[in-house]
Amino acid sequence: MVSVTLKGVSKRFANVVAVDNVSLSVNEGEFYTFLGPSGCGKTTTLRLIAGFYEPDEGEIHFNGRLMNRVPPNRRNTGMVFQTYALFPHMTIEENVAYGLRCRKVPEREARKRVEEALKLAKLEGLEKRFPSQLSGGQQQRAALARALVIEPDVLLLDEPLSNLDAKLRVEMRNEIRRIQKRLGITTIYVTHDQEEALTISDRLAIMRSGHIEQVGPPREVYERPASLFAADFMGVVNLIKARLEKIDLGRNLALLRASDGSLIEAYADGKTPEGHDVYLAIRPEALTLAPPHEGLRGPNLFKGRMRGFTYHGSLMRFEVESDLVEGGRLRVDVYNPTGKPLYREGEVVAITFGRESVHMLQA
Amino acid sequence: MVHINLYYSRPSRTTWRRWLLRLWLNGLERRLRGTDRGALIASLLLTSFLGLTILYPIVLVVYEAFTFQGSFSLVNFQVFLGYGLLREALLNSILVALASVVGTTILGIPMAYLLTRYEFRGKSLFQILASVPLIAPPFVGALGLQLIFGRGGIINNLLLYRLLHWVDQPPDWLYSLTGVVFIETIHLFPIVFLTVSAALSRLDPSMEESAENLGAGRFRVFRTVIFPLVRPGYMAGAILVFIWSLSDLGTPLMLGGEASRLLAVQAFFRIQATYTDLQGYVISIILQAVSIVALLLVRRYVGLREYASMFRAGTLSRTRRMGGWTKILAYAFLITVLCIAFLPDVGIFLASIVETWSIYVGPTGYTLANYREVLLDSPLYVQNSLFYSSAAALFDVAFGLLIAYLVVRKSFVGKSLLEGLTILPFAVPGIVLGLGYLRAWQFTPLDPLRLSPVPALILSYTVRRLPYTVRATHASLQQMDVSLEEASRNLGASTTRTIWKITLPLVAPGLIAGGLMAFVNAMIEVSSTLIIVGQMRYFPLTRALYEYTQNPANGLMVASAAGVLLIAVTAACLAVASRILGRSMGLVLRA
Repeated sequence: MVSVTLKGVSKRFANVVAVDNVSLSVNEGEFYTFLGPSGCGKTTTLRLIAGFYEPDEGEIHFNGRLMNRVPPNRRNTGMVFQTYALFPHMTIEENVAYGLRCRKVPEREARKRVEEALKLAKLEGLEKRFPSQLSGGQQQRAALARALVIEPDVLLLDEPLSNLDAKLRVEMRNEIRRIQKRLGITTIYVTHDQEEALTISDRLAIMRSGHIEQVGPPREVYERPASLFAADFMGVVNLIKARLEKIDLGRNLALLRASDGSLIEAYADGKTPEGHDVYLAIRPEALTLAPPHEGLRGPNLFKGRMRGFTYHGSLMRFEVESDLVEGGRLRVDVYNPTGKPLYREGEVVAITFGRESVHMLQA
Repeated sequence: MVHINLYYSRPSRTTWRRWLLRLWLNGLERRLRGTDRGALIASLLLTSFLGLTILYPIVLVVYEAFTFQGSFSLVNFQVFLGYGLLREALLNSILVALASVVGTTILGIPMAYLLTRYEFRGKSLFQILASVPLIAPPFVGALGLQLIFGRGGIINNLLLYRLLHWVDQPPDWLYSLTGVVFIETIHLFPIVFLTVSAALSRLDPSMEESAENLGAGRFRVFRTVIFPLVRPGYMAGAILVFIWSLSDLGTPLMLGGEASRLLAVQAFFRIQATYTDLQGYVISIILQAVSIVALLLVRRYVGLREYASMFRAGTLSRTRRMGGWTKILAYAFLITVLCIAFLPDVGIFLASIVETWSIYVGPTGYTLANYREVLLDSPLYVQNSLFYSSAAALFDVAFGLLIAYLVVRKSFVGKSLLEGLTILPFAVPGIVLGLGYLRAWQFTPLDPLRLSPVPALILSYTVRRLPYTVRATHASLQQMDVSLEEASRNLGASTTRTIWKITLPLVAPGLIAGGLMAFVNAMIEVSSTLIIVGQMRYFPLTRALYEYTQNPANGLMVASAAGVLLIAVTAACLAVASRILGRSMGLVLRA
């Protein structure tokens, strides 16, 4: 098993800095994800690791061995391309065997390994087909088998699921995770889909315009985003501009004054000093909604006016007018909406949230 | 409605026939009901026109070749094989065509690879220059090279023989099969370069990357992934080179000497202004057969099918930089090839402005008199050329638009026949078509020999270049969303109005560019011209050019002036066409 380390890696194209002084380390056997919007440099970073680009600055190490200037065909990485890049003039079998032929693996062993890889990818019986005769999901699995059969030191996946339909995407990501765990192979995965990144990764790195915003396990990144960008990118979030007025050390509480004058209680994070301006991030699912007369209790209790909703099946997303929040609209998610009340537009509602769901971000 | 009579008794022979006829009519009627009448009539007219101008003449050539004293016979072919000269010519023609394919491949493929896969200074200039040699027609090139590699030429005579004394007498290789291969190679290598470059740049870059990622070295990537994927494109180019150099009449005729021991030239000698020598038909048929066999072999064993990229990747194609020595070698290769490829153009320009050429000192003086002779003293040939070519181009534009519109937008019986007839001229050597016209229209009002050759000339130019306008319009029509026309109808426009206001303006660029290409190709057309035209007053410039060369005094210079004019017109039309289409000249040439 192999660890991957990047030290101060930068890559420029013409005048655009695609990757800007990125340092990171991927542990042995870890499933590590680069997550970010398009153009954030995640694919470029992956291609730097594969050796398709040379970094302008910085070093790339596999297990402490410097990989700069090592050509891609000597890095022993297995890459799954976004377009799969299956060779259209070769059968599936020939495609999978290609890397073994390059390594001059004896014929008998090669055949055995191809067979195993095809079995692992559930492609038995399709050996003689050409890529164009396979469905999208099968092509995807063939590309995976081809990358795995060479027993790569690092498995690189470049948005491998983006060309599949929604249901297949979920199946395939579970499949990839299952195979990765079974082989224990160090894996680096690139995606712009935050749900995919959260479900599949051991750790993920959120990237933005060439640098890393935050690295951590999925839960930490989702619940305690390090920046406004990370909070926003990890899902819809309500942002409240506030000033930290007082820290109650005894109860470990922070008292904050929102821009409309309301008082909000949160748990102190131990780093924001008194008198500091912050953004408070509260996820839509952390808010509770009730008719105003039903007497919700608690410190963080506010009023708002209902402005409509969108129905998403498993949840209902309400839009509530409130001065509390930037933009004047709070989003509130209600899970399993069956039987829960619908509110009329214009109706006044009560909103509340727990102290634990308030996350402070530096303004 | 046609009724079918069912007989209980066993029908006689005649009733069987009637029954089958009715069945057929019944089926036809059912198919006709789905067709709109205008489209049907237009397609019938077009199909019969193309049938008369393409299919019928070819069928007659085949018929004559296989007929002896009124009945089917292979005697004519036995006679062919009896001539030692013709047997040799057949072998020579195939060898010249194959050698040209090898030559263009050796120059074209490395050039395409260098110019698509590497990044270096002057790359875009090289890309433009690499397609330019295609512009000068090869017989004009043959003319231009005489001043350089000819017996009295700059290199062979003045430099090697007189100045450096390296040789006992000026080398004479130009007037030979080697000369033909040399000229075809430096003229046609851009075809291989363009088709291979196009295939290379269409190649999904992740193909190469994944091969490298799986451990393949650079040469292995080329051998196992790049070449197999580029091969269909390369083969399409190579077969074009093969057919072109096989059936080229202008170049060997211009060179003379050993170069006339080629099938095309032998056919021309036999046919020249007569249609009674049966060997003319046999040689034409053999030329045609060799082209078709080559095409079929390629299709059978290599396949011209292109692998459609499953996805068009958004990733940038990776270009590499070269190290010191590789860079020097690459520059040396590119510059050498292009310098040699431009020699004909240099030679012909030089020849067009010299007074006379002395084998001792070279030019005796410089003058514009040669141009005056072509343009002012006997302007008839230029006028003829312009008239024939514009007429053919106009017909091509009209027919091209009509045929493409019918084929893309309408459904009618006999659609594939019409499509096939339109593409057919690409596979028919000019000699075959020219001879077919002589034979098919003798004793008719179109008889090119007894009456005027003008209608036959214009028609032959028209049908030979019809594929240009049809394909250009076909492509623009297919890219055009049908809903644009539907929207126009929905807003209340009639069909005619829709075609005029919506369809035509949108396909116009492709159509005009196609028309320009048709015009240019008619201007430089040689083989059918030489066969059809007999009387001097009908000569177009190409035919006149051959006549000029017969004058030993300053014929080479006047002919060169005519050649420069042809090159200039071609270059100008190509420039305008590429401007209209907003594409590089190479792409226009390839289309």
